[in-house]
Amino acid sequence: MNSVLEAKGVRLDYGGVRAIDDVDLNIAEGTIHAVIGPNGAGKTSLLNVCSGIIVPSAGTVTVNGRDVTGAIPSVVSRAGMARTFQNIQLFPHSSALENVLVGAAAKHSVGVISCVLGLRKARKLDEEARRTAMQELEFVGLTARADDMASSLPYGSQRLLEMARALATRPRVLLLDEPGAGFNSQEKEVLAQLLRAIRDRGVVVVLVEHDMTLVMGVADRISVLHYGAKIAEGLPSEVSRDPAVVDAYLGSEAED
Amino acid sequence: MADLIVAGIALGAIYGLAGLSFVMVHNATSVVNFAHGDLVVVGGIAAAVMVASFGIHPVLTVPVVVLLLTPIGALLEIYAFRPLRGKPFASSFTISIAVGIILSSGLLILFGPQPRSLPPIAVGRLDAGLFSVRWHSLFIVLLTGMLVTVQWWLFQRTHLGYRLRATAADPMMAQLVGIRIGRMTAFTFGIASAYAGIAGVLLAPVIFLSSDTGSTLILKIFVAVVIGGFGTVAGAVLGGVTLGVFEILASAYVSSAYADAIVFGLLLVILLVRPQGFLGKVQARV
Amino acid sequence: MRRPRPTVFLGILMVAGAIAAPLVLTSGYVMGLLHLALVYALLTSGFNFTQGLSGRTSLGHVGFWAIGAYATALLTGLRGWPPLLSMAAGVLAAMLFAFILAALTNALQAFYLALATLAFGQIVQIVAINWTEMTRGSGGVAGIPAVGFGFIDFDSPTRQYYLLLTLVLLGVLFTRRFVATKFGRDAFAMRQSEVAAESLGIRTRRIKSVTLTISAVYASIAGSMYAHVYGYISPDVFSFTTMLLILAMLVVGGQGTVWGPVVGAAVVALLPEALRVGDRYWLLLYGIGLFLVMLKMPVGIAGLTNKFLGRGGHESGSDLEAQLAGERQETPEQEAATP
Repeated sequence: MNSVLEAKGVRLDYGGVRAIDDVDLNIAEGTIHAVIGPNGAGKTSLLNVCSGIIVPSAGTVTVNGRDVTGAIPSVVSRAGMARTFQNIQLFPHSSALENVLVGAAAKHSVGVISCVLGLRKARKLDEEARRTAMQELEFVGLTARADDMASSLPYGSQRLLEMARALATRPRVLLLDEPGAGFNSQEKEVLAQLLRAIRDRGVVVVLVEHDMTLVMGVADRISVLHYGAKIAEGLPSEVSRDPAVVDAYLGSEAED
Repeated sequence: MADLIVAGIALGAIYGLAGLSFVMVHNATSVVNFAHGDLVVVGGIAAAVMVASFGIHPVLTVPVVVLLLTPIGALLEIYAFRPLRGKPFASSFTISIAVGIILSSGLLILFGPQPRSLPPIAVGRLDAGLFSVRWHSLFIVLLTGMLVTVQWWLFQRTHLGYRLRATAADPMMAQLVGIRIGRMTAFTFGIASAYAGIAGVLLAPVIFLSSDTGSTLILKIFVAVVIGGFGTVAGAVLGGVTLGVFEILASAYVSSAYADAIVFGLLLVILLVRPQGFLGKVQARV
Repeated sequence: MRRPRPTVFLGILMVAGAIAAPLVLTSGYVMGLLHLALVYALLTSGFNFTQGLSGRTSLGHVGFWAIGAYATALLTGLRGWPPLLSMAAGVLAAMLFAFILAALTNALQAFYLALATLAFGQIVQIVAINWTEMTRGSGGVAGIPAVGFGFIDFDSPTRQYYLLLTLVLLGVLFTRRFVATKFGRDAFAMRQSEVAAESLGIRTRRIKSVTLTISAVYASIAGSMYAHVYGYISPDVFSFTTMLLILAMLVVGGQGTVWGPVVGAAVVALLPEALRVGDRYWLLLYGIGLFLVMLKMPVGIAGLTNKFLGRGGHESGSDLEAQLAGERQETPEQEAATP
């Protein structure tokens, strides 16, 4: 089995709290892998460790066979990973197209000088990036809003735009942090279709989500985190029947 | 030498007082208030003018300064900083620069450019066998200690303090549970400005204050809070005292100008190696 | 077919006016003011690369200005080097220090960044004041000859004016070119969300280093020109107060815009004269003006008249306010559906 993203023995200690406790994650090609768990289980922290925003206290992260443990996010991205953020990190003062364009062109290494002088290579790469950007906008259905300011887009479209931008970097694995937050059930259905389409394109999807319906409907495999540790993993049908999982969710509900 | 250290501690206590009120504001509103140094100077010059014009005892200026600076602070929060809440650092920082300019030029217009000073609160020394200390230095340290304690008690042991902390930690949640966050932030700014003013009254007998001293002072406050650990009151006090002692000793044994260079160099090193200073919290990576 | 924006006409008009100015304004005093405004314009244009285009509040800019000025003062003024050579030396020194400062501060944000860069600027000034053997200390350096290369000597106020104007226009052209490149686009992206830009694979550290270096080059050239035009420099002018002035010029003019720095410099350098108030009253007005700009017009003068960064933007200044405040718009269905 080809592992596109592998996290081994990841531990994160932060301010006296063990936010992630010895977590292993092995994401195989051609899957949609969901990471779920009650609030505070460490899901977003795990994503942040994988994408390089946080340095783990122990453990390794491998993307596409490349060890990116402790590397800064741009290095991890160049290894083949892209992500979206829980609180939507769009470029609000740029248009939708510009947002995706930045993603499409991000990894092009053009020197400052050749940029400024408008040399052939720089221009060609830019044209290529523009084509990629338009493709991704179309993929998420936002072609009509290409020239609109990102901040003027409705909430749902903003989430889709963020995904388009991430996809424009041509990643092998896409990390999505609560992509369905704030969506109604209709939009979640559209999202589910989109996620399957992404998987079918050959991009592996790692999904942190709260909505069980969405997760059950779309995930190929699920990992369950609780207080920073992985308590269950497997097919959706297996995980939903796992007593430890039920306990964790019921238990945390009782606490509220 | 012991005398110098005591003087350094006294000066440092003043820096600490100014620093902790600066941190108080930042913790409550995320604002880096460049005008904080000018608030100190307003307090000091107001006190000096009162003593010079009305001949009252310097101690009596303290309550007046508190009454003067508290509403100024509250107004600043309401009209200058609250509208910019949520905007990037440079926005509130720049408007605080504008406020500082308004305050210092206001002082210049009202009271002129001459440097002002205050007679010390108490003259003479306390001689107690082994050690001998100026009454004034003692007074500064005691008053500052008292004020720090009051601040701690207010924030940690009263219901009001609880609400202030809640507002600082999560304004949205605080609002949801019914806390009037506007009042909380204005109040915090008010207290912080009062503390700044008192620091000014304590400072006036130690150095000469003129209308533009504020910008020099704020730089020292910046350095002090970062050395001690930005974000904590204890850090501000610790950093202030450290800076005060260092400054006095350095001016005595090294040239005072190069002392400044050393401080800034040290600051750079600290920001590189341990940006959280002695007692601060570590920041996230991007 | 795009209608030429009114700003283009305005721009041409102003440039024409600027070119014609010395023919009309012959007073030496006014020329001196114009020289200062142009030096400030170049200086602030450089500052735009860090604060404006990259969103990095880097308060050490005045230190690079000092480096350029002292390079010219010490090498040409005291040792008779050809002016271009000293200017080049100043630029190289500034670039070196910028590189080092960037390496030291790239990981810092907001307040910590401002403080660290401020410390750099202060150290430069303190060294200038105290290393008397090298820099002549607080007395400053006098007798700096006018700049000249080849057989052209820029020794008259008019010639100096045109030289400065050319440099400022070149600076503006470079900025204009820069914002249209991928590099400029990435810098702008980084400004809006560093974590997103970094996570997309953009090398934000490189952007920070390059923009800081570019700003240092502008500042150094402005410093060398300042030394030549005034013939005398003193370390007092390279102060934190001046740094705040530069920040104010950029903010008032319009950070992140192409012409903003020039507009801001013109306003701050020339307005006090136009208004004819006393020094201390001017200071108060300036403070109030900056205050009002921050509250009501944070995009600055050029930001209002120009679209933000002159690119495809559909929003005028006022919409920008809402965006800057991070409003999020929901469609009616979403409003109803969200629990």
